[in-house]
Amino acid sequence: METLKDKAAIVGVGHTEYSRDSGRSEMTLAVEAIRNAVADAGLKCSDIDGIAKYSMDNNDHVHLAANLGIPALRFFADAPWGGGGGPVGSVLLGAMAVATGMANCVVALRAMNERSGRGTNRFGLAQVRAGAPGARAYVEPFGLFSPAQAVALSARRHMHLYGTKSEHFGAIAVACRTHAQTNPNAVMRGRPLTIEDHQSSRMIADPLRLHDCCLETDGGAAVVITSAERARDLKQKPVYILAGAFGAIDRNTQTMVKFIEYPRSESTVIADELFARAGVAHKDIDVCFIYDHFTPLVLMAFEELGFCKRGEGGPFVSDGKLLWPNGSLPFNTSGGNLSEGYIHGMQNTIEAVRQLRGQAINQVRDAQIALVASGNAVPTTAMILHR
Amino acid sequence: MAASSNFPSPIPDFDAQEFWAGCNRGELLMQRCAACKRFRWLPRPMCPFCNSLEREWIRVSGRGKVYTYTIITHPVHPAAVSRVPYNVAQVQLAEDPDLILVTNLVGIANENIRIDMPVQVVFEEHEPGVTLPKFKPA
Repeated sequence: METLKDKAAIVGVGHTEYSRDSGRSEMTLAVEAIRNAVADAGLKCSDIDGIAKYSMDNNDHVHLAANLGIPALRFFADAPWGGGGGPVGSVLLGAMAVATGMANCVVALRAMNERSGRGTNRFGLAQVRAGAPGARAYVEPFGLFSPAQAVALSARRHMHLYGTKSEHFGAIAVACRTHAQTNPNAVMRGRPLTIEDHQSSRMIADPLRLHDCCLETDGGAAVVITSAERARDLKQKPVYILAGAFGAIDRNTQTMVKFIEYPRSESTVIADELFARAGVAHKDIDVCFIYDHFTPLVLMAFEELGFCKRGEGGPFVSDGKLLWPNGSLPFNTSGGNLSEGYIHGMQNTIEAVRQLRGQAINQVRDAQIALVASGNAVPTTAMILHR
Repeated sequence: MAASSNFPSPIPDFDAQEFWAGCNRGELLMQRCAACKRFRWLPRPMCPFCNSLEREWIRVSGRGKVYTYTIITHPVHPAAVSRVPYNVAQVQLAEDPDLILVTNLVGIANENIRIDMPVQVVFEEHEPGVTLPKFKPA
């Protein structure tokens, strides 16, 4: 069977600063991040002929092209489902485009003012409206608005079924925060976190505490994808896409309310395909990036992606294996959505590339294979990269 | 009423008119495939099990058990400010394990809520003309 294996590579990564208020437009953030990614690759903006962005991104393909000076835009696509489709799905769309000759060089992008509200509404706040449309009609009248509140329901069920504890969720928050301490671009640098701090943080939606929830951030992040053949002549050591997968099931209600006991999830659909396509096993992953919107969903992603059995996520994440430098499975080594900045997960993709190039701040020794998974509990995407 | 002073009312989906109309009459109606007789939730036009478009609305017992719940302490909507802490629960209906509704539990203190607790539907007026299905201890 024809696969994507080694046909495309990530050759450039770039971003803006991550902040609580960028002070500039979302388009400015987007084109700054792209210009940085293109320069990192040793290319010019006019070399880009494809744009794959998050469907939630407010920046339009044509306006981006008009800023970047792209004379012929040959490919444009949107990856849906926010942090589920975006951080990896946009990259995979670009990879498929360059692998099939649809475009030569695609940029995958996320740029938003999600914290300041300068263009994007904060995801953690309800939109005030008289009527709740679509699937929201079944939750908002009862006072369920934010993703954190929906995830609290799933977290409680997981705790009930498997004995999972809040401290297990805390181990994920602590790992991300610890990794952020050496990252100069991390919003939470200089603010270390212990399990005790996590346990004493205020409750948001019981059992979710403040530190179980990701940040809200302004910023832009972009990566450049081209064919493996072209990649070899560029400035950076190419990071090849070994395999990718998309996954969704027939039970999602658009509100992140998960049906915990259902045997399939978005992530199990991915796991079935991803490792087989890549020809690697879980033990071969040197460094992993799991989209960290909420700590319970990270724990469940480890289970559903097959790193451990269902119900064993609590002990799995709590034995130190996720911590750089001594853990056996270093995770979100730049701090992730929880502590580096919430650029909707695209910053995790950038960090995966840096790890495989050997350019990371918390560099995993001899990292050769990385897994990047987008958000759990919505239709999602994942990829395995290697150098 | 200002949109900020109450949680939003449902905008009944074209394929779910019967559900909301049933609530307004004090009846809990669940959608069932008229061909293969399997229940489904949320309401939708096609049966995911047999792909039939024929559907029927069945008045169910309103009995169920608490599947999971949360106590919301951080308000993210203006109408939540005066209500925190409040509960949001999922209730699994007795008729089919796939029928899991998001709701509020009433007639019980938040600290006494337990998973698997038996509950029974009650109907509460949300605003004039709009009734929501909530659940109380059975």
